[in-house]
Amino acid sequence: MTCPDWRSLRSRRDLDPEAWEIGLEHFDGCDRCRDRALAEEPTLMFRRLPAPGVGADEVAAMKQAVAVLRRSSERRSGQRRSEKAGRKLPAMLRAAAVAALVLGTAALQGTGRGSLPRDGAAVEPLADLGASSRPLGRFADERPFSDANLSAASPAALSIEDLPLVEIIDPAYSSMVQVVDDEISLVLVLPNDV
Amino acid sequence: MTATTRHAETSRPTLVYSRARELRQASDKELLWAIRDDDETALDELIERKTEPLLKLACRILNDSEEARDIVQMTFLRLWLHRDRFDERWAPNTWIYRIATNLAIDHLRSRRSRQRTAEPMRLHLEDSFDDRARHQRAQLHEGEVMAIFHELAAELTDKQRMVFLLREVEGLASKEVADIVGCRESTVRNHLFNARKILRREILARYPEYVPPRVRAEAGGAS
Repeated sequence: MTCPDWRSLRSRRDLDPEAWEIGLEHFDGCDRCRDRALAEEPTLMFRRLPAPGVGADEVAAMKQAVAVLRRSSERRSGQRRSEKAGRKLPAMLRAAAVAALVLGTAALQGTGRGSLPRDGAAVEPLADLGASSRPLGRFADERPFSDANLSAASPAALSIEDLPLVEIIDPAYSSMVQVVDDEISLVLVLPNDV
Repeated sequence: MTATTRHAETSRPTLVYSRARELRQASDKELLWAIRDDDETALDELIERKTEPLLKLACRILNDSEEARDIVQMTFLRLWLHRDRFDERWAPNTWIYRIATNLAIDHLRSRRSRQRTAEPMRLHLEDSFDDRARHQRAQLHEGEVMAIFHELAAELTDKQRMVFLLREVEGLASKEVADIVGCRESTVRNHLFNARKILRREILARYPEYVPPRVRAEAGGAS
């Protein structure tokens, strides 16, 4: 087989890729062509980049390594799933408790719009609840949201002003507040007259 | 493949399990379907087939056989973990090479941030060889060619490097390279054109002894 004209082959490479491919096949098997081809296209020196040979033992080791990685990854994701499920329930319970407390208090507050003291003077801050005469912790041992407990809680103990305000939706009627727990954040829309 | 049935609900061919010999006759696509059905022996068969080409590719990208081995292991692991994502419209090789090249690129980037400068290969070639002896030496030591490629490839972008390797060294078709790298064929051609141009310029500037004398006189801006 005659050696190709590398100069013309290279100049037509993009126009005639098939001819270039045939030229490369020739290059791979022809030592006489090497210098002429490299003279035209120096990057051909990288055409035969060496790579390690792969034996049967390499493949066996690869199978073993992948199996180990696969099992440990599946074990880890199984653990993560069970840990997540374990954490999720108390978090949901806490969130539900906060929501119920807020809404329950709102229900007890009465219906008169504008009855909420806006100057804050009469409001016992949420942070002080633990030190108040009716600590929140007390309800933890009992049925926390029984009618008796809810009516025993001071209606003034919780006010919309004590909750982290996100946005006043309507100054006359409602606001959006956010209660953040360790793992969940609860956004509530409450009437301003809570 | 001889023992093939069809799922009534999906009309997708599925392997009948009797196995090792049958798996050896299965196409890559059939293996990936079986893997999608949690068949571990199909994964083993795929490892059997693809370890060598993937290891060679990763080694050419990374120039380190240990790191290449890690990348190939991670490729098979990711393929297994994401087995439900295999889209049968894809050529299996495209999907597998895409995972491997993405991992290799990520690895290259993290390595690059660890070691900003590499010792130039030139330092190893500063012996007192005349041109001819150097040229012979260049032909003899393929390992040096590999090291030179990695030194010069530092001038390329990740995409240019990947396209050059997949197209020029691995010999994949432009369409396949486009699918693997995730761009259009015209972009592949563009990356390839620029990669060749940069490599040619750098070879002539840093390692002229590897280029036969005739072209050195004409060296310069040819594309």
